[in-house]
Amino acid sequence: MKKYSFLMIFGVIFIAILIIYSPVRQLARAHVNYETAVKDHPLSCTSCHLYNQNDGFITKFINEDYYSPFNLVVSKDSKKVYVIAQDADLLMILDTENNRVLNKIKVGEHPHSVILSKNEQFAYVSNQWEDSVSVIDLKLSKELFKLKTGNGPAELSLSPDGNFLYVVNTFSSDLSVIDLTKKIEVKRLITGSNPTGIAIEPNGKNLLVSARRANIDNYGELISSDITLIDINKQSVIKKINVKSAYMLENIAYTPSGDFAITTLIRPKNNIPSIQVEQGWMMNHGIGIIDQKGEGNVVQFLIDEPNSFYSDPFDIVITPDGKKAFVSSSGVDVISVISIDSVRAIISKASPELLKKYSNNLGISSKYVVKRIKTGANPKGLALSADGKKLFIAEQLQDRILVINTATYEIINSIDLQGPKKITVARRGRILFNNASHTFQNQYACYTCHPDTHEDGLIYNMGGAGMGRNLTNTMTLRDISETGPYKWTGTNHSIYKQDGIRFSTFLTRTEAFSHSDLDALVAYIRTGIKNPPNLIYNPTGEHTDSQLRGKAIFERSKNNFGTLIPKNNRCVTCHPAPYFTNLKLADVSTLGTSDDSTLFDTPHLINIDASPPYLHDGRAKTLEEIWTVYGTDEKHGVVNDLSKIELNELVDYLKSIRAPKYNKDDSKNSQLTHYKSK
Amino acid sequence: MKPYILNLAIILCMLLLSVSNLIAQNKSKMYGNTPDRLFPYNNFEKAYKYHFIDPIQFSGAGREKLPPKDLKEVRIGFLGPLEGSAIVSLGKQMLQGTMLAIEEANKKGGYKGLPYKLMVHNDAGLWGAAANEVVKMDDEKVWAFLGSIDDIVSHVALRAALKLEIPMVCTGNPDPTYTETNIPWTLRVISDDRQSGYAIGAYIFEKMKHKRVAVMRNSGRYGRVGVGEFYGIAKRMGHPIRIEERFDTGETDFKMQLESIKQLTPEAILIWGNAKESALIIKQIRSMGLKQPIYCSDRIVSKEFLEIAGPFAEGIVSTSPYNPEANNPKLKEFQINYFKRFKQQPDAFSAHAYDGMKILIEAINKGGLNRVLIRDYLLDLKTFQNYQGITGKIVFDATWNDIGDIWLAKVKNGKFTFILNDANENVGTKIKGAKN
Amino acid sequence: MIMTKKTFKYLIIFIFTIVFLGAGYFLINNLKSSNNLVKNEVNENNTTFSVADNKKDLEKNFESMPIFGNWESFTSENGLPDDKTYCVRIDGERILVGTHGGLAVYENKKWKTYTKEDGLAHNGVISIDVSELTGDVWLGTLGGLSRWSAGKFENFTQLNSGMPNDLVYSVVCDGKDVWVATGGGAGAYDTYTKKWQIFTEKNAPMHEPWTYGISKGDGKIFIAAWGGGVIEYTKKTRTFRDYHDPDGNMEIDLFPDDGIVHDITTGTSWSNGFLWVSTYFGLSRYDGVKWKGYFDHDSGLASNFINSLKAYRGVVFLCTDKGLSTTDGTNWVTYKRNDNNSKGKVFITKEEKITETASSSSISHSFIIGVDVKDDIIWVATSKGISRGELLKQ
Repeated sequence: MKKYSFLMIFGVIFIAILIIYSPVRQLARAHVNYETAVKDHPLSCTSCHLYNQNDGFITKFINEDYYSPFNLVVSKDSKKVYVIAQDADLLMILDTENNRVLNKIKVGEHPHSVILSKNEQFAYVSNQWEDSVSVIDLKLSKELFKLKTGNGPAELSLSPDGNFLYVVNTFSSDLSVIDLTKKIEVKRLITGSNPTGIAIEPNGKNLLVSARRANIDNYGELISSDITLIDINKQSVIKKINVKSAYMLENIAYTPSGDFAITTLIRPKNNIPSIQVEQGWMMNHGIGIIDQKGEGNVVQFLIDEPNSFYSDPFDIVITPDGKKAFVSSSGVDVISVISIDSVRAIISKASPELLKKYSNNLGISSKYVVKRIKTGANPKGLALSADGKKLFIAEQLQDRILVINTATYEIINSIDLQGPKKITVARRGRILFNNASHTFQNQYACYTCHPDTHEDGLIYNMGGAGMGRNLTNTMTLRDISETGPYKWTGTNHSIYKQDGIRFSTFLTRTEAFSHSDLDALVAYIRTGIKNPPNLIYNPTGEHTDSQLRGKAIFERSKNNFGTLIPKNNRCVTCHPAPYFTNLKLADVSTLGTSDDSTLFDTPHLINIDASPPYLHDGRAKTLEEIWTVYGTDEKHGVVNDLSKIELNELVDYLKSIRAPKYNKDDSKNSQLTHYKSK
Repeated sequence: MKPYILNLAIILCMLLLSVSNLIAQNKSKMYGNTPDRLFPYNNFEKAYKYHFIDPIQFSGAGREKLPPKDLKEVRIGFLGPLEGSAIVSLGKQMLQGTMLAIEEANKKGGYKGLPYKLMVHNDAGLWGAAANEVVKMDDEKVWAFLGSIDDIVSHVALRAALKLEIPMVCTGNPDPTYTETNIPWTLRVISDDRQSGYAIGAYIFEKMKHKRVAVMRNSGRYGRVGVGEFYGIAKRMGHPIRIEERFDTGETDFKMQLESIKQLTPEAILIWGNAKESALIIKQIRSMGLKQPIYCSDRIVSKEFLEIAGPFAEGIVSTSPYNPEANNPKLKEFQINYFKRFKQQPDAFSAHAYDGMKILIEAINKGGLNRVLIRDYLLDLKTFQNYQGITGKIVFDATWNDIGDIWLAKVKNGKFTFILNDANENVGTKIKGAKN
Repeated sequence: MIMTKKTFKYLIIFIFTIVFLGAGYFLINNLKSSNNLVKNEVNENNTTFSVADNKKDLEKNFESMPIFGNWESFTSENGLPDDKTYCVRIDGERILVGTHGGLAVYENKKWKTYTKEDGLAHNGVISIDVSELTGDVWLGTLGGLSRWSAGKFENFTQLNSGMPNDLVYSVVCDGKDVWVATGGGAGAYDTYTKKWQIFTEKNAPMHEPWTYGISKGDGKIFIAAWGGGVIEYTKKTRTFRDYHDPDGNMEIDLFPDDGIVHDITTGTSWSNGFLWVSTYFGLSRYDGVKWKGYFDHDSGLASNFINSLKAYRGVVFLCTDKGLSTTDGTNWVTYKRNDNNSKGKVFITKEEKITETASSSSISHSFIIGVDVKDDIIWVATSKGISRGELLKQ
């Protein structure tokens, strides 16, 4: 027996020595050091190998299904709130008196917004990943039917007579006009790029649609975005209001008198080196006042303060008395309250030149921002009660609706959506992603340059190498877990490295993310960011004839004259399925005079149509230009033998490439099944 | 049927036909030097309407426009295949011929002391550049331009020239349909494939008495339109073409097509294509043991053809819009100057470009700096009718198409020899044209 | 033997008839100018006559052959950016004019010009259409296609988009689609999916890739293919059909009514059951079954050289190099400028009888390039200026 005890003790000691000094541990250390590019990251296998799992049995246990309230609307009597639970594809109906969830109605994929009919009998919900609007009978608590829309429906509005529904299509950059009596879309009006917000003039004559992406221009040009003015009677576009130096006009609202419309906006300084973040010069957040009188000029005011920024303004609502505007500063978990009278006073006194200067002035927000109300994580959609006394806030990452007294700014209620109590690692990562607290003076969050976890379409002067050097076209973060290396230069082989210490040195200019925060952020990026379906170009997985011909060109080994195309110059060599990247660096003859000598990472091609401009420095404004303007030397694939018809077919095929998950099993995919049934 | 009813019916039919033709247009003469018996449908039916009898007049505005002040140069455009095309060598010759004419004009003082400046444009750019190049020339404010060789390019450019109202002198495109567009803004200074078709057709069917002819043609528009007129007269002469095989530009193996031709045992083979493919085809024909006489289109008249075909070129006959051996002092002088300037012997494209540019410069000198007035002189069918160029006598028809001299070229002892086409005498027409 | 005595007799009669008719024809031809041309100086409120009865009436036809007058003309002296006007489009209260020097817009009796500096693809605007659905203006220029929506230009070129070629000779909006005829083929742009489709000789029954005119009507798109006749695209079945001059020769038209008079077509326009096709060699009309040809020698057509055309309410307006001709297929009215006194000339052809009337006002030039008509108003784009005319009271 003693003998066994001795052996046991010896064995335990041996194992302990093995654990402490074993080469396995050293190997693990080397592995973690390599992946994270630092030497002190805790040696925890689970932080990577458990929480970064995309699918599999174990992920069901470690992840939770949250509701993530995104937009909301309040009944006239304030007794009910209708909330879009974006992650759960639900319209939730809440009882504000008893703080409970009355009903959950299943809607389409990835809903965005909800509005009510005048008599509050119907709710209209835009299903952004399904290109439809769900029409819900609120008495029956049931979806009656779906209306077909353009691509990526977002905000909605009803015509004053209730006969027409206006749907802002974010992905196709237009506005669907739906005749509700006939239940069909009658026309689409072109808007600014990637629009979301809509507002109807109080007199019912016009409506405004705000765009998020800036108009594509050459690097160095000041950016500008469009607000589209539409005549409701004629149902035609009458004006494009150009908002200079600004983008991300997420939402827009009219004052009750109709003298102003106010939009939220961001003023990026993408043309100067990103190192300027320390000067408060990277991202500014504010509002744009569209003066309805005269020429309809847009006056911009910042809601930031000299040493504190209020990033990612999302929604805006204006009280019925026209005195206050509430803006959800979603990146800092704050509602900024703006005195509209103060804004009016400044505008009336200042010369146009002075107003222009104000648009960059961090010092004057104290004159009109009268209160900052702290909220839960990531406040998004806002709604006011009919009397304007209560403000309802959708706290997206808190799974909660907050109710504020608009006079005292006190929290008077908070309605829990009864989501999971546990905050998973990926959820924490998502909160970090959307929060600006990790950037110098809260100047921006990851979300700011990657709205909707995608990309903002701008070209940045990254790092400190000097003005106009090493320009970088922002890349999407959707479905990137398998597409490393990262950065256009491919210098970061892992997301850990990409978002680690160098990230803070070049971008956030603060302390780097803590190890546990970095783990969470990486877990979110690797597991929580999905591509929307490609409903315009490839809704069902079946290619059109034109796309099939384009595919043959993409995969061809001989040109039209029968000459063999060298293997490394065939499209499919560097862009193989499933992500359409070979994960390698290449020279496709795009090195510019402003670039340091380097090869470039081969980007993936999923939903490529949603990511203009193209190439590492965004020089190609369209896919065609990659070859017609910048690829004529045939270093980026052989296309000079193609006819214009064939080039169109190639482009058609490229646009049809969609995320691999949609190709796995079409029949099980609800939005595709829905699309097919239509 | 009773005879008188039949008679009545015949007479009635004739009567009706006559009445219907009463409002048809009277035909004064056949267009394009076409012999009566070879004119379409002429042996069966008079056409209701004959086009190209009288030249279209340009009645638009613009003659009153005064020339701009403070000009430093007089710009003339050039449009030709200079890069990225199978016929770049022809384009370069055309450019050089043009340059020589411009340089000589500038030595003589240019336009009232202002130098002529050639604005050079490549027509073979990617993604359909020709029309855009003409628009660019308009933006550059050229007074007229010269171009091109490729038939598609020339058509596209002509349409743009019509819209923009820029005089266009074409010295390289033999497509008959080019001038048949009836656009009163262009002049062609090279014989077309209608004239070539008649000449080679007359030679093949009348002089050489072949009956069964096979055709190998370029699959592009050059081949399709080029042999069109030849097919027409072959049919009307009673020897319709029994077999046509096609090949692509850049193709090197023609075995399949030639096997099909071989099976039909033709008496002769006509090849309509660029010099390179034509030479390769001839080599393969001979290597297959076929000994039939071979005829070609005029693009083979080049050094490149002789080099590739080597001894197999011997005896090959084609048409040629140019005779480098013509006894013409002007031509001799041009050949010397051209060689001095470019260290190269001129070909048909440089020679016609030289003639075309000389005509254009003269029209500018006469018309002044006004596009419509330049056009008026170019196209009045008087100023330049019977123009004695280095390429011979140039005669224009009502579509401003060059129906002047044309030659037959035959390879003898590894060199082309040229004879003014006279095979037409058997056909009963004057393809050499200059005397009518 | 067929030739009997009787036959001989009939032959004599036949020959006499021929001689008689021939002499008659000679007289008609030579005395036309003196006998049939009734010159009269009257005011512009002239007589009119009935439009041919179209069985397939789809829109209200003109009640009678319309006559326009009270011409008012504009040139660069009145604010046009260039005298050379290519096209015109009536868009509600405003008139859009494509000139060599930019887009000119006439509104509230004032001209405003838009050029490349304002974002237009090219200053040479050669075709215009307005989307009935959205009100967006589509401008075919010498350097690409511009969508002019609410004061902003969005440009499509052969390099930045799937468009076939930058020379946009003709543009037509058809619901959500925009069709163009370009130097490199016809193109269709779906404004919903943002996709271009190109039609050339490679995928449609065209002889040549270049197209010159495009129009819509009767659920079809009609492409005037230069050298390729007319290509008809039926939207419902997505199929093509081509129409050619059956004689297959450029130098003749064997029979006037056997098909299009010539394969080099310059424009198409459809109205009330008739497709009209213009060429540089005459005019053709197609009723879905039969073709009919018109030339300057056998009808009231001012010239066979027709730059473009527009069919509207049963009447076709023909832009020729020698005046604006209009016809319902039977009767003709032609407008020219009298260069001697700057007044107008109106030629009315009815049953082969031509009446010339002098009018106090005139179109600004007889070389007509474009035309648009809406209700009682006509605008004519000419080689030198643009003119506005009104339907004269009947």
